[in-house]
Amino acid sequence: MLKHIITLIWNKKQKNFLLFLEIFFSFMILFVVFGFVISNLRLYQTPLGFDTVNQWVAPLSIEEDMADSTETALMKTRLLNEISQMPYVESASFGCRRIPFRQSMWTTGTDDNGFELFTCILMGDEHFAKTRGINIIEGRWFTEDDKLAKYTPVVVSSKLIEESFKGRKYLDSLFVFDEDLGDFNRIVGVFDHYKYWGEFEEEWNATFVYMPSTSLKTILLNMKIAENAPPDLEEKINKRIIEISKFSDLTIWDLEQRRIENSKDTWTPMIALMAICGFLVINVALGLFGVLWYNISKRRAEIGLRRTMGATPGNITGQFISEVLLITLFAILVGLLFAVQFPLMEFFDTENINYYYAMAASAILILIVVFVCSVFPSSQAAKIHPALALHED
Amino acid sequence: MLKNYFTLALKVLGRRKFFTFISLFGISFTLMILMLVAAFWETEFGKNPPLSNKDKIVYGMRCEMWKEHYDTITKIDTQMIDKLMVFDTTITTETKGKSQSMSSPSLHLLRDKIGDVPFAVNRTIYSSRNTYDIFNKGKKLTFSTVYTDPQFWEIYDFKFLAGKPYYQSQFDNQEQVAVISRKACSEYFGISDNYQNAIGQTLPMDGKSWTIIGVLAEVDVSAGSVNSDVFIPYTNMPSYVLESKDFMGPFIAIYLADSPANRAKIKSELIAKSKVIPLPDPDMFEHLDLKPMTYHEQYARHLIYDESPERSLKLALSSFLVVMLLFFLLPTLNLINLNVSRIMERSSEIGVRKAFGAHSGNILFQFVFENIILTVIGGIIGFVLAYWLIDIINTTQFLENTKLSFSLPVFISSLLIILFFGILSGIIPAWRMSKLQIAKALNVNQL
Repeated sequence: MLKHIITLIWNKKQKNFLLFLEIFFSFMILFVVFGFVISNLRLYQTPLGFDTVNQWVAPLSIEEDMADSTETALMKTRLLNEISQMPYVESASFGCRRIPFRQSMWTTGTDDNGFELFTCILMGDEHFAKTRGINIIEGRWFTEDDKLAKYTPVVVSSKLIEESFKGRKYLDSLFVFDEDLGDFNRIVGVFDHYKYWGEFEEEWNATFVYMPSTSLKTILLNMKIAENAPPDLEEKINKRIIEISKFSDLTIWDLEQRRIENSKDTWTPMIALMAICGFLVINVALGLFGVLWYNISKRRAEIGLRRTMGATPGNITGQFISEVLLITLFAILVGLLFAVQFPLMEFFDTENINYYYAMAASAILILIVVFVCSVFPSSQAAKIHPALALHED
Repeated sequence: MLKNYFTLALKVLGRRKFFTFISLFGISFTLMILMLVAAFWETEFGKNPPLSNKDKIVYGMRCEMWKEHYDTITKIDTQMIDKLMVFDTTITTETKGKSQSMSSPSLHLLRDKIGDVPFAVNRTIYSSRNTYDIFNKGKKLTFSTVYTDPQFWEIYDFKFLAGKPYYQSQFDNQEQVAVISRKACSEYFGISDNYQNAIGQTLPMDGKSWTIIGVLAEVDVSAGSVNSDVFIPYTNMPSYVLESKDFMGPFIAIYLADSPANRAKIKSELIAKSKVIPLPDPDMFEHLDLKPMTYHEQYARHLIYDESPERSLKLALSSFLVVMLLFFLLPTLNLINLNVSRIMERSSEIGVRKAFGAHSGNILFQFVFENIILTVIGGIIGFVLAYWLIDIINTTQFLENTKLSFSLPVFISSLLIILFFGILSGIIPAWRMSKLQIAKALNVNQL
C-alpha cells in the first residue's frame, strides 16, 4: 500500500515538488516565529516576584560625590518619615537606583569563596521588601538592628542559591561578594524571585545588600499606595518631596505603567508576527485546498476505475489523504533537518527546549492544516459514482 | 491584441470564481503587508523633517573607557647542573581582565576636548532626555525635556506651527525660554488650533518658569530626542553638569557632513582624536573609544546590538532581507502552485492557438499578461487594505510615535512590487505551458 502511494507520488514528482517546497517553507517560517513566541511566552509565565500595581518610585538626583553627606542623610530620614506618615501611603522605603524595567545593572563576580559566585547587586533598606512585595522564603529580611551589624547583611534570590550555594550551608554564613561591600557579607535570608529587568527577560539571580535609608547609595524612594488613593495624591506627594528634598527635577514613575510600556516592546512584534503568520497559514491552506481539489477532480477516471474494482469510498479518501500527508511528512522531515541546526549551533540566546517546542508546534499545525484541506476534496472524490466517472472518457 | 488578452483574462477570472478568490486573497494580503513595510521604511528612513539631513549626520553618542589588567607571573626553574644551582626565570604577563565603562559623553569631552572636527560643516550638542512631572489642574503630565544649543535647530529642520527657535544670544544669556511640541502645547495650555496664543505664556517646570517661544509640528519618526516635549537652551542646566570635568555625561553630539560620503571621514577623524586625548584619571582607565555612528547604524544598534555599529547595521539589514525574502517566497510559491494547476485547464486552447501558428513567446506573453492583470487587481485591493490598516495603526498608536504615511516613493515601490510579483508568479507556469506539444495539448479530452 505504502509502496504503491510512494510510486504514485513519484510519478507526479514535478507537481508534488512545488507542494513539497511550499510546505517546507511554511514549516521553516512557522518554526522561527513559534520559537520567538514560545520562548517569550515561557519567560512571561515565570513570576516577577514583586508588585507593580500601586507602586510608585521617585529617583532623587543625589550625586554621591557632590552631596553633603550629613545634610543629605538628615533629609532622607525626614523624607522617609513624612512620606510614610501621609494618608494613603501604606509604606515607603529607599532602594538603589535600579528602577525595575529599566535594564541597568551592577554585576559582580568572585571566586574568593573557593567557588564561583556571580550575581547582580541591588540595595534596599529594612522597609524595602514590605514596600515592593518581595516574598521571603527562608530566613528574614533586614531589620533596624542590621545597622549595627559588623558584616553587612545580604538577602539572596533562590536562583543564586541554586547556582552557587547548592549543598553548602549558606544561612547566617559569611561570604565574600564584592570588595566595595566590605570584606564579608552575611546571608540572612532568601527570597523567591525578583525579575526586575522585564516580564520577557530571563530572571537573573540577585543579591540585596542592606543599606540604611540614610545611605547616599540608595536614591530611589519607593512608595506603596493604598488602592483607594484619591487622584490628587500624586501632586501632594510630588510637592512634599520637592519641599523636603529641594530637588525640583522630580518624576514619579508608576511601576504598573512602566511594566505595560516595557512589555509593549515585545508584544508589538509578537502580535505583528503572529498576524502575518496567521495570514500565511490561511493563504497556504486556501492554496492547498484549491490545488488538491483541482488535482483530485482531474483523477476522476482513476477513481471510477478503482470504485468499479471494488474499492470503498473510505479506501479512496484514505488513499488521497495519505498521499498528501506523506508529502507533508517528508517536507517536515527535511525542515526538521534544518531546524535542528538552531539548537545545535545555538543561534539565539534561548533555552534549547524552546526550539523543540517550536518544532512540535509547527509540525502539528501544518499536519492539521494539510489534513483539513485534504479531507473535503478527498471525500468529494470518494462520492463520485463509478458509472458517471467512467462515462466521461 | 492587448485588448483581446484583457477581455480574455477577465473572462477566465470570472469562470472559476473560487480559484480567483484564493489567488486574489493571497495577492492582496501579501501586497498589503509589503506596502505597510514600504510605508514604515519611508517614515523611518525617508528624508522627512526634522531629519531631512538623516544621511549626512554622524552621531557622537557613545564613549567607552577601558583598561586591561595584567597578571605578571614569575616562574623560576631551578636545576642542578654540574653541581651548580641554575635558575631559569621566565616572566610572563597575561591579560587578567578588562574593566570598562560605557556611557554617553560629557559636555567637557565633546566641546573642549574634541571640539571642531574636520569635514563637519556644523555641529550640535544636546543632552539626552530628562523627564519632569508637571501638574495641570490636578492632572499629571510627564514631559520629556532635551537641553540643546542653538545649532540643534539648524541641523534638525523642525517645522514650527508658531514662533521660532532660540538663537545664540538667548542661549549665551541663559534665557529661560522653551520650544514645545504640539502635543505638550495642547496638553498643558489646552490650545489645539491657534498655536500663536501659546507664545509668551509660561510653563512651570523643574522649579523654574519657562517662556514659550515656539511650538513644533508633530514629528512622525520614532527617533528619541526629536520626539521630546520641551526643548531648552542647555546653558540652563545645573552648573555641576555643565562644568563637570568627567568624560562621561548625559550629552550627544551630532556632526553634519556636506555629503553622505564625508561621513566616513568624520567618523575616522573622531576615532583618531579619541586616541590622542589624555584621560582624566589614567589609573582608572587607560583607553578612550568613541563610537561614532551614522543614523542607520544607530537605528540598527537598537535592534541588534553589536560592539561595532557597522556590524550591527550589516546584521540588521541582512536579517531584514532574509525575513522579507521568506515572507515573499511563500505566497509566491502558493500562487505558482495554483497557476500550474489552473493553466492545465487551458491546454486545449493553447493547442488550438499553436496549431494556428502562435509562437511559444506569444503564449508566454499572454499568460504573464493575464497574471499581471490578476496581480494588479489584487494590488488595488491590497492598496485599499493597506491604506485602511495604516489609518488604524496611526489612530491606535500601535507603533507609538511612529506615524505611517503614504507618499510617492511608497506608491512607486508598491507598483514595482506588484509588477515583480505578477511576473514572478506567472512566468514558470506560462513557460511550462508554452512548451507544450501541439498534439499533446489537443489530445486532452475536454475540448
